[in-house]
Amino acid sequence: MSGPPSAAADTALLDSVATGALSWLGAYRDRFRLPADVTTDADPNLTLKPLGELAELARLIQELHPRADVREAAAELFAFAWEQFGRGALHAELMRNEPQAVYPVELYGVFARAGLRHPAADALLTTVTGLRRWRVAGGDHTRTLSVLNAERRIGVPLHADPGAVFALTGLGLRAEPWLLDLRAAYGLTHDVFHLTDWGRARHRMAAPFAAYLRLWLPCWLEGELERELWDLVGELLAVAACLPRPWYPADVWRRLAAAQRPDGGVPERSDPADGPYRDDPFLTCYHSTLVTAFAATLARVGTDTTPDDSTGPARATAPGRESEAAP
Amino acid sequence: MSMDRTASVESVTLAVEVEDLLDSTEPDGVFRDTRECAGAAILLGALLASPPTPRPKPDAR
Amino acid sequence: MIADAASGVALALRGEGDPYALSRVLRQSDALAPAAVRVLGADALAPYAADHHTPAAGDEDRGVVQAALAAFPPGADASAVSVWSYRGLVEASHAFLPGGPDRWPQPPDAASGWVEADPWPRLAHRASQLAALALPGLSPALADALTTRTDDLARGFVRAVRRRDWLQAAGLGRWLARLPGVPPTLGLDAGLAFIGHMGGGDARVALHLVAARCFYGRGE
Repeated sequence: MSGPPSAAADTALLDSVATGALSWLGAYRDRFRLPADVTTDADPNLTLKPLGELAELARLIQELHPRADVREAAAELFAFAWEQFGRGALHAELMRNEPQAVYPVELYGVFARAGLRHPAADALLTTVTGLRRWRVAGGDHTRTLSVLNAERRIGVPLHADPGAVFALTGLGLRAEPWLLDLRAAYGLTHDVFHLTDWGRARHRMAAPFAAYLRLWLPCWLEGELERELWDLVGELLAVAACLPRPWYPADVWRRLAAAQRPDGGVPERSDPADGPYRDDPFLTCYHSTLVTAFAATLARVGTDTTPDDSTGPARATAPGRESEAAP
Repeated sequence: MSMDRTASVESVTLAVEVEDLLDSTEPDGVFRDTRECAGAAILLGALLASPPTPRPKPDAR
Repeated sequence: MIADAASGVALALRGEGDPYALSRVLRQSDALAPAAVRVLGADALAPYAADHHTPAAGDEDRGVVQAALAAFPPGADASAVSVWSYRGLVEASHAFLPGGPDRWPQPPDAASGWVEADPWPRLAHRASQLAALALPGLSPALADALTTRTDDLARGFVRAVRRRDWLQAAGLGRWLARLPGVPPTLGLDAGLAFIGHMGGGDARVALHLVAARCFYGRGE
């Protein structure tokens, strides 16, 4: 367990952020639609990846959000994603086309976790995940954690020892916190998401890692706020909510809420001219908007389940002083 | 460190400059990120870090 | 000129170059010497606090410091950093320069409410500006107060390195070298080495790094 008790979550703000984000995602739903050439020429990073993110995060919101209207909106998005995947037929086709790739299995895991399966995909999985080549699935350790989580969800044997893999990730190593750049930051947030099954299993995070995150999250967040990288702010807020004792940094949440546009979209960065795809509101917003809805859901759940105790560790700074914006 | 031997040593100006040097404002932050896989990280957040998988050519289907 | 003086101090702390004398690095006859001493603060006298072969300070050193204290006392509206820095120079004069206490002004009272009240980024910035006070035995009350916020100073160190503010990072690293209870996951020694590679060309950065090594054995 780590850190002092955090400020009480502002549920009104969290709900407004989440409903705004879901309304944006609903309005842009057709942009997640897969093109006809999805298995051949289309860039998977602009087609399968957005849809996979939509499925992963909408499903979590559908499962966990305390408000029925939010759950319902998320459920519609998740069902849309399953339809787009041809109820699993597309997973099977991707596995046939690219038996070397892990992403079709990861994408299938999102739905398998929800009890949605496809017979052809299930049959292929046994073959694909039984290959010797599969024992090095993933490549880097963070990605391997993702594959292991997919295996767990689908119910095939784990191809590696999750503890040994985790130990070699940025979080497992508790890497020097001052070395965290953009790429390491995304790796770290995903170490947390895969380890905790996207916040569903916060207890899987052992105390030393929770303490490490609680100690350094304030200064990492401060840097991303300065850079106005809203998707990373959202991911780090989600990490804060994945801690065994969730941390709610009220000032950071207010800044993220202020960056949300009136239509509910959250831009990757405040100045869209900074990024690629600057002319496309969908591509500049979809990831941050999904992440924001996800983080707001986890933060909302965390406040419902956090025991109201203050038996934190000795290493603590008084609440309210840390993580305030620099002057 | 703008002090310079050729600058005026008029005492009031110097006192102000000393104060400024002692209590200077923070410089603007400069962040550097590794260029490794920058494309995957910057926009897409590595949720499904971009799969460098070979894709069949259209006529191979 | 400040950079030259800082380089001279750093050289002496490394035990290199000619034996240190403040009055040789900053000649009293130089019109800007008092201002430079005031800006360096206690660090102008840091080599006299080191163990290795620095000859005792002499009367000429005393003259340079006295001129600085007389020319640049903190005014009524001076910042807390200015008052603390002045105080550090007075304390260091008592400790390392010849002459009894009556030769030197009493250390002025300096406000310390900020140590408890500042949000961590501001606290860290202020502490880094006062890194010259991170000398053995100096300002123990300030060091004790900062000890209650070691985690926040460490967060400031991380923030400063990430935004490549090497001067702030080095100053905070120097404080953290002095304070107990620094979080092990910070990686302070590697961090100090890293700052040296990236920002060590700045004489004041180099001075903080040398002080952390010389007085507290960190950053080896």
